[in-house]
Amino acid sequence: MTAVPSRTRARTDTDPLWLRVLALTLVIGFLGVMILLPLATVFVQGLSRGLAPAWAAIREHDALAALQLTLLIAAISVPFNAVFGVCASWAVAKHDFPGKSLLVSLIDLPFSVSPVVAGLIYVLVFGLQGWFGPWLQAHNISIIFAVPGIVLATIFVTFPFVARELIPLMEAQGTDEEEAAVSMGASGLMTFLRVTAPNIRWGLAYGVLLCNARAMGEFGAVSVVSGHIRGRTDTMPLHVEILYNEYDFVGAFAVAGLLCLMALGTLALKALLEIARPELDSHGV
Amino acid sequence: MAYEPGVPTLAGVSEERRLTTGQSPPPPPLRAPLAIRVEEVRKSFARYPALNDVSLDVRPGELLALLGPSGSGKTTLLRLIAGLDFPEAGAIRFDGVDVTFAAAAQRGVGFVFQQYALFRHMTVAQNISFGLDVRKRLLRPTPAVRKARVEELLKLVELDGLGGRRPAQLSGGQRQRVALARALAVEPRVLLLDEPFGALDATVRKSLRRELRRIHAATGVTTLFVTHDQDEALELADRVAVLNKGRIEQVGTPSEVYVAPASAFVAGFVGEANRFEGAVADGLFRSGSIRLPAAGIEGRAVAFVRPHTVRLAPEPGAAGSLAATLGRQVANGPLTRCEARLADGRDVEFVLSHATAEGLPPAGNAIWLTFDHGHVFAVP
Amino acid sequence: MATATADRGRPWRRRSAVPGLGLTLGVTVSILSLVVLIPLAAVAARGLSLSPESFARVAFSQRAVHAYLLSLGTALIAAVINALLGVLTAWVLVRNRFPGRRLLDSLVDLPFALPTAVAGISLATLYGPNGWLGAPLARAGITFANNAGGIIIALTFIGLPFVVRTVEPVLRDLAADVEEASASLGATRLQTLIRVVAPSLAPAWITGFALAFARGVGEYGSVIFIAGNMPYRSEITPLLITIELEQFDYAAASAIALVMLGLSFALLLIVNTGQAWMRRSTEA
Repeated sequence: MTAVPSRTRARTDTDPLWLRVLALTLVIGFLGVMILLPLATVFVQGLSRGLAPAWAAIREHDALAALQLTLLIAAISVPFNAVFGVCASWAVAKHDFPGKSLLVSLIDLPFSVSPVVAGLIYVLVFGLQGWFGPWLQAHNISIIFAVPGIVLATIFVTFPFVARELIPLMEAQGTDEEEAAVSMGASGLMTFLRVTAPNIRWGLAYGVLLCNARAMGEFGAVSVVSGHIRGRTDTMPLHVEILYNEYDFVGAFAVAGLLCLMALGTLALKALLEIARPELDSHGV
Repeated sequence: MAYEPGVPTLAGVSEERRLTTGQSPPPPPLRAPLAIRVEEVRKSFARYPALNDVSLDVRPGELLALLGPSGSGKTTLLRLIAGLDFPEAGAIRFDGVDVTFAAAAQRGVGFVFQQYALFRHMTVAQNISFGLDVRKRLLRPTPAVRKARVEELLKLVELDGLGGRRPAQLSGGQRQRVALARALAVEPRVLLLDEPFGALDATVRKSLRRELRRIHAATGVTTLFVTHDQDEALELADRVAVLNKGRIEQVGTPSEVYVAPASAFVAGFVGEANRFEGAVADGLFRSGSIRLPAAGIEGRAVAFVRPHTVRLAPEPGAAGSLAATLGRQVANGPLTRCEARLADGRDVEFVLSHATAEGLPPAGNAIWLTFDHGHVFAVP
Repeated sequence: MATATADRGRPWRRRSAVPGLGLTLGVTVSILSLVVLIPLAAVAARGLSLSPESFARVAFSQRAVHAYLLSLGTALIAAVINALLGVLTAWVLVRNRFPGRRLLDSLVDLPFALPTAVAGISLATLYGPNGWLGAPLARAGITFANNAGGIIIALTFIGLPFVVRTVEPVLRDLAADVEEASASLGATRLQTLIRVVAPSLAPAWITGFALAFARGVGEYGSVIFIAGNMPYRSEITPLLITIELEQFDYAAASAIALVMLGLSFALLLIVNTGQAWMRRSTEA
């Protein structure tokens, strides 16, 4: 009789070894086939003729222009979405107002819209046949098939990233500290800068990181509005597509390898943030 | 809001004197303490009302407790006074000036939060000096003055030398002291504390109560604190406001509230009491064989009898005495708590001096009790 | 400050002690409207500018209907694969300690971080006739050219992190003592899993499934390289929209996009309603 409880306990603590090994094997097999093999493919294909051709493909004029454009797009759209995300989460997490849950759903909306549709909507608004197309053409302003369109499409697809990260964090932190600051005479801006911002900085960094990864890698939406002008409106992912469709596999995979390295860098930073965050953004002192 | 240097020090203020006289504190405060008037204030959350036309006068310099069970609206009232929430109707006046919708920042309140709400990324000293640091440049004291002020306040709350610590490195009681010092740093005209000792263990609570009493005496600032603990309210406050279901049931000194409860709720909530249901006719409350005087009431009623007012009858079967079977006795310092069961099966608790209790028979024997005093209220 | 005055002008405006609601809400709603809502309204306006007959002709042409069914079907299958293997992955990552666990855990997020076009060309090569996996599979008679198989592989890759990342925190927070309590009351391991663990995981599981599904329905970049893009066989809806766009048939593109948006929103609505219902039933 006394043996029963201990046996029960042992069984809940650990499932049978064979089951654990089977599960682990399945998972490693799944992730190996779905993630590691594609990753390895990129590098092996990119380096299939050695380092020199791959390096040349990256140093090539159009590739460098694409890299510059991608960085420019991210440099505009990520700060924009960061500011938006902070504003939205301040309003949503620190206040109560009618229609709040509707607002949160609308902020999440871009996640459920196909990237291609995200591109399409800007074509319909700013394209030649669009609402403002004729006016824009008359004033010699190009948005579609030009950089502003790519920026807009990128902002759309990365719109919710920062807000989604910050809203739950700020809701969990509550409003006590802000109220304390306000009751001691701090202005709204002062309260945000000195009390709220230090509490959310790692969450913000996390959201910005994810937002940036998507901004630099977006393909579908950008493809629709870019116009694919080599050296002018081609981002890196679009450049990969062009090279691939021209059967320049070494070039395509060399540039893809560069994007892979950026993605791996993102994952490394993300892992570091996840280690740092529990201590730094924790709540309930 | 000019900075007035120097916090009143503790020297010369005798805690004993303060406690025994029950007078308002000796003169040190630098400006006249603030009077607060709450007029017919109403506030509701989602569906249920939090406050129903509540009025309250807070006297200058007093230490007032808002006492009530959870959900009674006491924290809401405190937050309305602080400017952390705003009422739907009614007004709040500070020395006659309407501040109902004034921002918290303009009111000059010091608020101490139940969970402390310390800024976790700042040191203790930075926390305390925050309210001074965020002032507009012209009104901001020099760094040296701010530093001196922090030192003074650390001394006041007995945390000297801990200014460099982070909140996470402090105990609960120490955090609460920091919160108190931080609220006092801005020289508030009123100090508001929301369940200040709620999250602390019993020993720390006791010592912090004395601390608050001492600091109140030293600063003389009008102080309101919210609590659900009647001992805390009765022991600490000059006056107690008892709240229930968004209404104020009674405002009075601790002894008024205890000795002369204004409603059945107050009688039941403040202090211990045996509760009997019955009816009043011709000025007499009857419940089974219990009889209590009850003037000015008719019909269904409820009576509260404090355990210390129950007496042993001088002799078995004495006139007006009730037969009972003695139950458990628990010696508790100079007093002994006893339980007994009346002949009709109802249980009674009473308290006897240790000496009187010595004379009781063993449990299970018959005794005779007299109820000569009770608080009787009509049941609506 | 002694003369703190009431903000009598518009007392109803002051709802909260924490300032900045007006400013931040104004900025939020303005940007949301300009960037998301008004442009989305343009699709509706353009799509609905068609007469009902021509809308039906364009949006429900045989080719379009094939594309919808293909997008929905492949996204559903990929989401189911991810739901099953994702929950297993989460369980392995949370409940086991083994060398390389952190690395594996980080790699789960690769589909979030990797540009979809890179995933697309990589998968196309890997499963292509000469690829590491494609060649042996071709010898066994399995090909992924011009059929739904390749699309499912791409969508499985894209949707992989969703289920893992939504289930993982719930699984971690699901205190071991609940399982121990269940066992101490005499439940077998299987009973504990079905009656205690599964219901706690279900809301997160369904959320992850729905996110993976929604992402799969709209996915473009990773699919087009591997799919072959044969009309009626391996042409997904987003691709059909870009084809209409390349022919400057904006109305047709909008009509198809509208149907797609309708499908996505209907899906989200179903999932949200289901979740609300489940939350009520577990709280009651």
